[in-house]
Amino acid sequence: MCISNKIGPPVEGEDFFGREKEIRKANRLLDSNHSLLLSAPRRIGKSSLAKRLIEEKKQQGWKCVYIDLEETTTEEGFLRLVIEAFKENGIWKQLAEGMSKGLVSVLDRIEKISLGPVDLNIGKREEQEDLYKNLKELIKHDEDTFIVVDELTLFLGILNKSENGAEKVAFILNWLRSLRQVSKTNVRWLFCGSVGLRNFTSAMNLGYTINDLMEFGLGELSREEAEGLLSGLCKSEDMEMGEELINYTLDKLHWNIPYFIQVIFSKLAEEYEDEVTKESIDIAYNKLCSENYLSTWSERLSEYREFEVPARQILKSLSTQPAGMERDAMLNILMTGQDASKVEEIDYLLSKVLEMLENDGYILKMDSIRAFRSPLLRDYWFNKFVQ
Amino acid sequence: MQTILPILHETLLSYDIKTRKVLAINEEAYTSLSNYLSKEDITKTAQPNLIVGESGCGKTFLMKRLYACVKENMGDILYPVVIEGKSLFSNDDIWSQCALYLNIEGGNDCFEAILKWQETNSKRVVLFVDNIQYYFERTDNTEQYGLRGKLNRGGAPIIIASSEMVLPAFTQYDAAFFDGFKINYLKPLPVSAVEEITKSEYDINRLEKIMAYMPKTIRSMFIAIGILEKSNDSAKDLAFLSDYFFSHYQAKYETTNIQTQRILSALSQTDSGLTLPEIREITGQDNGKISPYLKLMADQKLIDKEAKTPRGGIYYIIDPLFKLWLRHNTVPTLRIKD
Repeated sequence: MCISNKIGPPVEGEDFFGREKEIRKANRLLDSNHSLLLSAPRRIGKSSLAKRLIEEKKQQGWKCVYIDLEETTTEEGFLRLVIEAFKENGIWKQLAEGMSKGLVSVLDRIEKISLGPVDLNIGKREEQEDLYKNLKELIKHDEDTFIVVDELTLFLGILNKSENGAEKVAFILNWLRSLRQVSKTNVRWLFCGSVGLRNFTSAMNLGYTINDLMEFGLGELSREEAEGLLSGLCKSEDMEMGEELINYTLDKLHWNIPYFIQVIFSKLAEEYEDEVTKESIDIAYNKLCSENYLSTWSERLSEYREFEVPARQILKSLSTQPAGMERDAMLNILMTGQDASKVEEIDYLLSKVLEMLENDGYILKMDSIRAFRSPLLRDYWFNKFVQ
Repeated sequence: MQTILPILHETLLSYDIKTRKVLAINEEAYTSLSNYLSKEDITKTAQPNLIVGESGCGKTFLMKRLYACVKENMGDILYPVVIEGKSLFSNDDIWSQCALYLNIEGGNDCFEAILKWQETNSKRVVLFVDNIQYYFERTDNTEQYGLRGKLNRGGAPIIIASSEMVLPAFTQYDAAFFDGFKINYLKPLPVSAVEEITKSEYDINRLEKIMAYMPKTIRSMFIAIGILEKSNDSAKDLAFLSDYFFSHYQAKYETTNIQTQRILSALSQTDSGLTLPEIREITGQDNGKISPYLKLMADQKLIDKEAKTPRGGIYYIIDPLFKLWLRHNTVPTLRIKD
């Protein structure tokens, strides 16, 4: 087996490494007719896992759809993606006798969408509701189907900022829920996102729209998997790296997610001449902290909306404290310059921010202390925002 | 809530209190700090403590209680010294005032003289510094490092200070006192606590109506109780409240210019604030004569804008008590153009 080092995009086929336990669990849940919610920190390998599951389910004869909402910003764009992806993968029913006029008309529009731009007519509320209702009826619910929706929260967050955004978000979440509630449906869903859908829906009082989804976690690689990945990458580049150095690298990273292993390996490979040493690992690590490989972790904080500023304040302070900080110290940071009467309000805000940062993998809680989950990310943050 | 109550203030030095007969407010902070003081080893480095709460919430009162507690119950090993933060411009001020309080000649090195006094008397000084924000706003990081260096010495005076706000000097990474104070927040007081505190019964609805205009502090509560005791007619409660602060807001009003007064009058007449076109219509003034003043008033923290869109927004008076005063004391703006 030869693994190629792809940093960033989801990996497929032979490049996918490990996660056997997680895949077994996901298969078990999907086979027992559950739909899943995979909220895990960014760059941990959610999309890669989803694609792997698609490969497996296809082999079992399921119809599979992968919808990535990362670049969609409008409701119309969302609908187009769904319609096209469903069409491409044979999820829509065929034209049949006895179909209502409405369904026939929607099927006609679905056909035309694949040929070129078609006005979806979702300007008016009634037309919009009719379209969604008809689309729901056109899905084949009797066949084993697996639909992955990636970055749903990211899309909903953007949609929420548009005019009547909250209403649109609620509508889409309710519609997706209604699709899962169809009696005896064989369609299973997997919603993935680096921004927690639970955080998002709970902040908008829409928690009920996803309460039927089974939470599915994805953590760092096991030590064995991490060693296997790093040694596989070395083999693919003909690099010598003994067990001691592999362990040194993994200890330094501490939080062994595929992305971090891949980025440090790419730095090592760039500088590689004839051997890897502890010094070259240190140099690669320091370069990562001062370059832009990790900037996505900062950029994505904009999705925190009103929580972005306090989240940045917390992360900035935590990056100065390798041993972590007590909650009280973080409260003091958010209280700086604030009216003292706001202490309870800010205490609540802190709880929300900490929950979001923990869910998204920036920080972890050990007893009463919070610290950066990854020393690499912490050192990057310190270099970028403190030094 | 940004109301500032200028009265009913008692400085740390105004009178002594007996710890056995005091109002039961901020009990959690009192217990925590008095326990800390009773357990502090007199030879080790002490934990600086900061009491943070808004004006009128009982910070000075809490320090007085702690002062009395040290004097009455811990006098054999601790000695309380009080300093007002407004009088501090340097570290020397802290140590020279402390030496003065201890009635010792400090000479060129008051801090050493204080340590010597502690050794001679086998007592450790507890410095109660009220309004320490003045010291931190007036001194630089080097000076503050100097203070930290002295406080961090084993057996140096223990500091318990108060501030209305958490300053960057306590939380910024490169600040001398970064994470240097244990901060004790005094939380807003719920109106429902009145009976427990005063051991008397009051009309809670009337009390809540008055308290809606003031910060949720013990000082506000006493003002509200005073009004209930004076007024038999609930319809007049707010008029009494407005009268209570007449001088304070009259002085504030007089520092503003005519255009500001015109806008304030207009804003005070509405419950939910006004947009720029509405202000223009009510005051009869052109845009050019309104916008610069709105900005000025926002800078002076008289008003704020609740922005709906980047270009629009609703302006409102920040201090509800000032708004009440304006309602009671100014007539609606006459539509006269300059």
